[in-house]
Amino acid sequence: MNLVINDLTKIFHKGAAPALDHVNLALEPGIHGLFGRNGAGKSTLLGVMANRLLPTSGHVALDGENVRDNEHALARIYLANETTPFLMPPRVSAFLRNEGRYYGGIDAESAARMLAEFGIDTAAMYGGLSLGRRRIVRLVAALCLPVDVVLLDEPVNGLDAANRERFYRLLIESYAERPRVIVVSTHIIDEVAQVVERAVILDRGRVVDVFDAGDVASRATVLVGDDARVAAFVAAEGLQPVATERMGRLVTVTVRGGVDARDVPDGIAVSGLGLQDYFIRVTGADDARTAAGDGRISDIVDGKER
Amino acid sequence: MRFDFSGTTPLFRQVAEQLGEAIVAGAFAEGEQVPSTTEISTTYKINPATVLKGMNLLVDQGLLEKRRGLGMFVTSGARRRAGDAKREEFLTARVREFVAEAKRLGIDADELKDIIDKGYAS
Repeated sequence: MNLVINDLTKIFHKGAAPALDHVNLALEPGIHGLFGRNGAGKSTLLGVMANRLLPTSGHVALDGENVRDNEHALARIYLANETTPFLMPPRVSAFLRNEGRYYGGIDAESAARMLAEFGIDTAAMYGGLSLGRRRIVRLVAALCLPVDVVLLDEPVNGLDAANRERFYRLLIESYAERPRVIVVSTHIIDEVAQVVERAVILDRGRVVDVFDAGDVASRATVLVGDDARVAAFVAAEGLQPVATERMGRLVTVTVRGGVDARDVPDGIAVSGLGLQDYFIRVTGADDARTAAGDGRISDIVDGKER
Repeated sequence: MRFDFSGTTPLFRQVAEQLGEAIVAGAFAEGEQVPSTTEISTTYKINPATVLKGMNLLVDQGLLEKRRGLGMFVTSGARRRAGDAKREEFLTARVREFVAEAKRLGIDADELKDIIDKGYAS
């Protein structure tokens, strides 16, 4: 089972910046994190993957089959996002049944058990539920359908802390029971860092990095020490700095890649970066910078300057 | 078990360390089954692949063994081996760091030995 995104571009308005800019990705079964800032193109990408949006160019293939207007492939892909169901079903059970009808049956027993954990009765009126609870119902449906690709767009928006925890646990349980392609898009990274296996970072419509979430320490390293000493070490080792902060003579330099602590001379402290910090550096903290060659890590990750 | 999600030690290594420590402490006895990958991953909300990677590290170190269709078990002699590994790590890496730090602070060897002796005496 694999989902391949091939040179996908989406332009909403002629002349506007592309929402997706030549995106290439290959997804195998696993829990994937799709990370990007507001407006990076996460929802657009998921929308095209589920054929809710048409690409301007490029295509998405599930096991080699183009998903565009392809009922067979689309019956295997489920997208849970902000949109409310077309016809508001009267009861939660009716909503689950309807989704099951389109996607090859639903595991009603598991759905009822999961919903009970959130204190939601399947006999409850769907329209009478709060927004957060409606969202939970849609997430539970996503996990209980027999589809091969589950796309969850900002799943934890509007969920309280206890329910987010509960959702992450059910997500892992559900995946362990039936491994499949699961994509979780979010800009809240700290919480899901340990839940996802792979991280895909999207910035301004482009995939700037894809890596094993556990290997984030090998993507970038932080060196702290005396300005001259750190500069000499960075130059001698041929490291690529991506961010520099100064405070008097004390300098903090983020360089690309991992650095073996044993190679570092006395007087320079070395540390790795958590996924969230890495993400912030990759997606550029300052939006005002537009000039090419500004040293953003995303340029370097691609191996080309914009 | 406690995990440091924002730290810089890779999570799979933390999983291996925590399980290793539990074996040294005797929480998982030799010949006993350890919790399954799924159990650990759902309890701590850690990706199953990460947990498996950590467990495989312990298989490589000879602390755990896979029994097909049953799960992971603590090997016989695991407790001693895990203890040895901890001692080894302490004597090499940790002591070296400790001495380097003492040097940086201008503490000479005799002074350090004195403090260590005092620590043992108390």
